[in-house]
Amino acid sequence: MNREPQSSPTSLSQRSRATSDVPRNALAAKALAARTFLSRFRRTHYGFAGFAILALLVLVAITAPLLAPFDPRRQVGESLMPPSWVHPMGTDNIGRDLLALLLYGTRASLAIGFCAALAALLVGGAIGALAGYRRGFTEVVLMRLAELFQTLPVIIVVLFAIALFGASFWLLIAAVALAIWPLEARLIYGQFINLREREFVSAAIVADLSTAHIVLREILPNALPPVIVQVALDASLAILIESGLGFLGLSDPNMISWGQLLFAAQDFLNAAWWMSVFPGLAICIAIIGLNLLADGLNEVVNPRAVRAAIGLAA
Amino acid sequence: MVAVVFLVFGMLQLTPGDPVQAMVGQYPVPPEFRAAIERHYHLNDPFVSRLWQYFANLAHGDLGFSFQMQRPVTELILERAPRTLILAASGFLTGIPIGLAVGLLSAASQNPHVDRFWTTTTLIAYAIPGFWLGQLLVILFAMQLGWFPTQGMAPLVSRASGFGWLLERARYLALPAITYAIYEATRVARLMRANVIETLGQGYIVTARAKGLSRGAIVRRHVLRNSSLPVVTIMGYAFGVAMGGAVLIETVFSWPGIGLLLIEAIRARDNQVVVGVVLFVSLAVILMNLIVDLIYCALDPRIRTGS
Amino acid sequence: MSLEASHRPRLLDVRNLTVHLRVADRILRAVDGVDLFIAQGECVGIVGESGSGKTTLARAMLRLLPPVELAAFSGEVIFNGKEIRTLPDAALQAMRRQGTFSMVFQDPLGYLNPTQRVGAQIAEALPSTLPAAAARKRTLDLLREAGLREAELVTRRYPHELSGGMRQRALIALALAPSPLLLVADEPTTSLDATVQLQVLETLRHLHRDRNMALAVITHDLGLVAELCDRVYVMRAGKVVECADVFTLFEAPAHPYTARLIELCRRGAPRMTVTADGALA
Repeated sequence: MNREPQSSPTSLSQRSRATSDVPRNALAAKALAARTFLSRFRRTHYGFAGFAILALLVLVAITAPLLAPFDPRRQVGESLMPPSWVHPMGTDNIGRDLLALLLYGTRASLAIGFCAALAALLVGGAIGALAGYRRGFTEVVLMRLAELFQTLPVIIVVLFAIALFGASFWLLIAAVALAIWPLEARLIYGQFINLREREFVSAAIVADLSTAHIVLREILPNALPPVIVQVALDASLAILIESGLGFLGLSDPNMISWGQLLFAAQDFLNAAWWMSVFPGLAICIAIIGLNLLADGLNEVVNPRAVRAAIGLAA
Repeated sequence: MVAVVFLVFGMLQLTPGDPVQAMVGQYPVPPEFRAAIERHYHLNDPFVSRLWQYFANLAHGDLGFSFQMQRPVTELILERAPRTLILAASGFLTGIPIGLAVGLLSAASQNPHVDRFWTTTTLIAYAIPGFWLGQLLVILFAMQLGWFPTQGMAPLVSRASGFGWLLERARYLALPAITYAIYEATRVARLMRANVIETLGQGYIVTARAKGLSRGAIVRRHVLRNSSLPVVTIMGYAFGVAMGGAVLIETVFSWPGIGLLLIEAIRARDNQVVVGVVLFVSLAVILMNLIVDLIYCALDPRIRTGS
Repeated sequence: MSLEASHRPRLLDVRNLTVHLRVADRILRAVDGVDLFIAQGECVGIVGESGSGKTTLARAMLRLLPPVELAAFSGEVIFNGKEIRTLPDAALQAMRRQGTFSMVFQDPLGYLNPTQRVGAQIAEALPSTLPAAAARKRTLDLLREAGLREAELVTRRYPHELSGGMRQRALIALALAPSPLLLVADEPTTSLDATVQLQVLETLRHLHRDRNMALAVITHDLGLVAELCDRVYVMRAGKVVECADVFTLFEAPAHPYTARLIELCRRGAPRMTVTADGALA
């Protein structure tokens, strides 16, 4: 009673956050929640912009063979030709069309981004959920492990894994997931710790429902919203890591990716600026798209965290 | 109380090098060296004894021997570390103040356009990979304008001395340091903006307004310090990471630091060096975390009294 | 209405004050056409349960609402003949420094800067022209006046090192620093233990008398109002539903809502919750 949720502005927003955490078990409530979620997401302009950018990139990745003017693997002109009508982005050091390379590169970059984020979600999610639900010894061991991985810089972990196992497409995904799973694990772990203490979970435990039911049906749906945001951020991180590896010449050599184009560009910075500028721009667009998406989602999930400019009146 | 917290935290971080175990345990042997290594370095010995030997050597600061470069790993790392330190320090020292200023300006400005401008700018800068930024800077400032050298840390032959020598070195340092600074500044700016917004929502800001303090005074006396504190932690950690060398930035500029050493070692499959560098980096990160905790303790009275 | 109060000149005069707040993505009318005045040296209570808009009203009067949350603000707020609502920032800051009005907040921990010593925070509210030694003496005097005997010690402490009661007193000392004509106390005793509540109440009573300072107490605690106030405004859903002197209010409440509040208070039911339609549950 000491608190005044409605008259004091700060506690007001706390209250609105609290209500958004309320478990939605009824089907109708769920549908309603999904609808308000969508409508609120559409109203966060940048979130929607991010979604649009990503949708466009996915479309480009799927239709790359139709869009590309040339075969990206063949020499189609002289090497190091500057941008022209025939080759809008110029050609690279072995006469391949840069636009075609870029369009095909979308496939690898997006695939690695999404797959690695998904893998990190599954691994980190499972570990975080286990630690958060089981507590005790399991908790200590698993979270200590996550902490240990977080001590090392992400890029170092990935490089180390690549150095040991090599870099095919799937190994790359595994290496990236290996580096970023602790982010997911810690987030989900925190969610589980919070939710475990909630009444509806205690109720389910008292009602003697199966562990699987409690974890999958009661806790997980309520733990997910902030996780979705993290997945978007993970995907952007994965794309950045892959492009970094490509740039170092350590990515899968059988793959066309934006990072690898930058690797080639490094030796021709003086002769062919376009080899560096366009692939870099592509990376930027993908990262911006994912970050906008994450920001938009975050605003929907946690309205208090993102606020418009706060003035400092007298 | 503080001491206990410290001890627990330190122990947690320093628990007998789990990463070491993982790394050494999976140590693969390059086939071409197998015979030689086996004879000279007792690699046929059981795993546990090898591990023990590695630990024993580690205790003396011996990280093994690089076959590629025919030099002890420790020596290689110690030679490279100061260069990475110079690059990272110059990047951080310029980047952090800029980031703090931008974040503060963005969050505390009364003009919504100022905030929008800076959030957009930082978002775009955030999305630019550091190495690509490096390439762009090289293309613009080194290739087109010719203001700075493109690569390396010093000219192959140098006759400059004294101040001239310093200036020459500074020209080599400039581009990688700028790249680094921009990279760190964007991260700091994003963090700082969020912190300032959080701080501005606090009750003591209302108290400060009620005192009749001007906007500037509120920002100076109440917002700046409280919002910068969390940034200290993150940046301390980032500096530890940076001691591992910004691998990508060092590669763009061929800056012969730890990061480049790691890449060279990976390309040459020189695993002793790889393991050594990774160990060195984790040590740096752990040390920096400790230092950050100490600094934070000194800066935040809430932790100092250990409540 | 108390005869004595109506004869004294008005210190604060609020006319038709309406405040809209921005909450999440909706806009709420938190204060709805409120008329209110406070005479010099008078003690006024503003009563209502959670969500009745009394805190918003108090903050709006002193222009202390966070600008982000403030969507619209209309009406007149006249303090000592000056319109506050439209006052430029610099003039408003000057008024606050000169000690026309101050506010004591509900949650003293959140309203003190955690990284600064209490003494420094109080000194900051003193005129900057004051020499250091004099400022230090004033700070100690203020803390003693707010009922803190170990003033010396308190100045050197950080907020989290003090007890709740000490913090509330430190906040009162801070509010007194510019020697205000009007002190607005928002739930000054709510977050405190029962015994400490009484002591703080006593302190407020003394300050009100000794300094001849007008006092506005915002609370849901009718007991506090009965102890302290001359006149009472009862608020509900952003509107003033009743205004009466304290004896009339308790003897013969004019509004049924007031009557219900008083009845609940007499029955010793400190818990009041509001249902969705604003009724008491």
